[in-house]
Amino acid sequence: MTDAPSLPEPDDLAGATALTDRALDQLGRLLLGQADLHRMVLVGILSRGHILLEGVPGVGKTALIRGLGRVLSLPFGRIQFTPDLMPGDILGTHILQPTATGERQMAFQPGPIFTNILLADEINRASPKTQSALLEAMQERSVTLLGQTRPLPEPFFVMASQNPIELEGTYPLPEAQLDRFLFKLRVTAGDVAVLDEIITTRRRGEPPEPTWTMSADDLARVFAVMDRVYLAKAVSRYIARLVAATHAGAAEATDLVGQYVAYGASPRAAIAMAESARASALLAGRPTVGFEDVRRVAAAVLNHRLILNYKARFDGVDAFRVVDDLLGSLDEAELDLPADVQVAREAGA
Amino acid sequence: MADRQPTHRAAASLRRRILLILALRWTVRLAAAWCFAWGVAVLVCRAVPGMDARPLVWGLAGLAPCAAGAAALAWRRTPSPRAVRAVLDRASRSGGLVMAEAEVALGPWASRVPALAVPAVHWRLKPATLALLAAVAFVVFSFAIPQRFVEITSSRPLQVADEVAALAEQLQVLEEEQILAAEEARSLEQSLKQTAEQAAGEDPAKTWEALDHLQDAVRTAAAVAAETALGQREAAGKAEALARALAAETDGLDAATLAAAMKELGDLLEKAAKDGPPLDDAALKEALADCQAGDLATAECMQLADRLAMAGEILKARLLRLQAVNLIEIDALKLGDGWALDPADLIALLEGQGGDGMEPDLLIQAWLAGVPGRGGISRGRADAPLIQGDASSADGLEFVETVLPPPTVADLKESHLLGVTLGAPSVESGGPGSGGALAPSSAGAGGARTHRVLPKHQPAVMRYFQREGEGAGRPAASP
Repeated sequence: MTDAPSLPEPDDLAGATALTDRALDQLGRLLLGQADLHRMVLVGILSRGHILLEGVPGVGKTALIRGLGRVLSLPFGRIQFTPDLMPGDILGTHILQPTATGERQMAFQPGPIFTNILLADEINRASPKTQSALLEAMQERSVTLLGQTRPLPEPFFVMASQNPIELEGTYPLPEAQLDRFLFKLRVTAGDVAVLDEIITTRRRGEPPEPTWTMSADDLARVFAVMDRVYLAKAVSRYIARLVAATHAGAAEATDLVGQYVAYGASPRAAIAMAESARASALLAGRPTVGFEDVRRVAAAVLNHRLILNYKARFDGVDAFRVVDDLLGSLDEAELDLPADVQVAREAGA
Repeated sequence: MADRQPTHRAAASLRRRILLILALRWTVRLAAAWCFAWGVAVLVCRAVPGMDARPLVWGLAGLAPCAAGAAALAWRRTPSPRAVRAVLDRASRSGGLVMAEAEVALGPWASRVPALAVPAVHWRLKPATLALLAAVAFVVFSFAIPQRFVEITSSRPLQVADEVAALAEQLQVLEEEQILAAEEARSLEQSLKQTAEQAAGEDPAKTWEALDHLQDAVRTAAAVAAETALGQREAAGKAEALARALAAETDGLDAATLAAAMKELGDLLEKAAKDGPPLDDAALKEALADCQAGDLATAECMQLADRLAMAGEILKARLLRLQAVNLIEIDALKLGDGWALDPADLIALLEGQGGDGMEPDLLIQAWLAGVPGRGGISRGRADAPLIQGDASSADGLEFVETVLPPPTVADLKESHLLGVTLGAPSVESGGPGSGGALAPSSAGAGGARTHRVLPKHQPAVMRYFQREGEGAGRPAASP
């Protein structure tokens, strides 16, 4: 994707923003008290990225993804990952079928991955072999079986969930696969008010049916508008500096990075951050990406890509703290002024 | 593409503001550094002897390059227009629209660019300003501080206090003894004081050289004065002895002897008075005149002798004082009365006891010279003069040439080691001598070789036999 030569028209942008607002509103009706999560999930969808949801059981991960599929009017498939799940169970397989002439031939039986939104539930319970079956699908959006490559439906999203507890009998996702997820979002339980509302409005916890769904054309229109959201050079440089600073020893790396980060984020993270920042700007109704968009998506993009060392585990430092430290230390404008000269962050300050 | 838009003006304004602040910052810093360096240079120039610090006032002009350098540095550190726009975008919360304005055509979005207010640029100027003020104060201080506080002085002055004190004491003695004129003494004292003040460890040779010069001057003066005093004292002492002799035997001397004695006394007084005090007072001059007239009475002789004795004591005290301050070194013999004469000896000489018929003036001169005129090898004291008699004549004498026997011992240079033995070496008996004085002897390892006694050896041989004749009574050979 290249920078658009011109900004989206105001009406187009307003229409796209209205659609996304309605989608968010519907998601909010389906899953109460998770507005920020819904926003980030929608940002991930608009960025054509895959999302890894992490949370304890019962916080609504599956409900969110199911509701998203319904709101976006996209075919939805679910795979419950188990240790005995095989790649063929996901990708599909060739079976021997009789033809009309009585002959028998091998026919491809597509797996559940051939859908628009795939819910990979408890993805860390499958064996690495099965997890790896998703690699090509997530990156290339295609499946190759018996030397034949088959494209997946467009758009294709993997919405994976994993349980941070009950780690016995699980297979942590390898870094290569983690890097293919645009976001890793933490799903937390709602507060008292949210729980009270859930109890009083949802019998047996069943979410209501969406009152509005986004059509495929609407989604394509939103994607088209988002492609024209402009990323200014100063912002793209900020993203590049931010990702570069996640590596210990980088020029702008903070002390926290140098102390706790074993491996920093990949260039794929910078790409993901730029795309998700564009989506964030679109949701905000702006034709250009601002620094605040980058700051908003930075933690979701970087937290699963930073590999911290054992010292961080001992000291209780997690990736979110490292990202917060980076966001606080890097000057977005890169003024590079002497320490005793500062420009106010706001006019009139 | 949007150069005429308000955002561009705001960006340019912010950039100028940052440039100005940076230039001011660097100017203050460079000026402070320059002022410190300037002050140090001024202090160094003022501290080093011979260097003039006044031209360093032109160091004020060095602030101009500081300002120019500050402007250059500020220009290099001024943020790029893109960064400035990013700051404006951030400050106005325009969400990237201000940044995008400089890169793409905004189209209908241009009207949605918010009105921009240039954010303030803050500079913590307190430390830099304090540094500059301190530097300026340092420069002012370096120019204003009195010179005596700046001059480099030796932390270790040369320790010449003892030498200076000794010289001062010597000068005082010389001045009090009137050996040095008052003006000359003051000049030397002034030189000594100046040398002591300028004595510095950095150049000790200069100080020591000056002190040596002064020491040489005072020692020379003291030596001359001591020599004069010794001469005066000796003359006075002899004159005193002569005066006492005259006082004792004036009546028993004939006129010629008395006149000769008076004349000698007058010569001594004149000689003593020639070198000044204390032997040039009026009484001694009157006595001198009487002596030259030949009418010095006995009582006057006694008075003269007393006066001369007193003058001698004065001279002795002077010499002792000079010696006490290490100006001169006089042995005890000179300071004592080694030259002292006994008037009784002169009286005895004049009365014909041992004069050997000499004239009175010669007798008096001999007595004054301390040569009694008697004694010899077999008589008198050891200091009696040798009396040369008639010279012996060598007329008619001839040397008889004899041949000495050759030695049998080979020349040591020609010897060589034949062997080493515990017993006595076997020595060949030498051949018989061919004759001569040593022919009968068998000295050493054999007979002497015969050598011809050359004429040039004859005086030595003659002296040898003369010695033998006087000691043993028998010369070995007759000339």
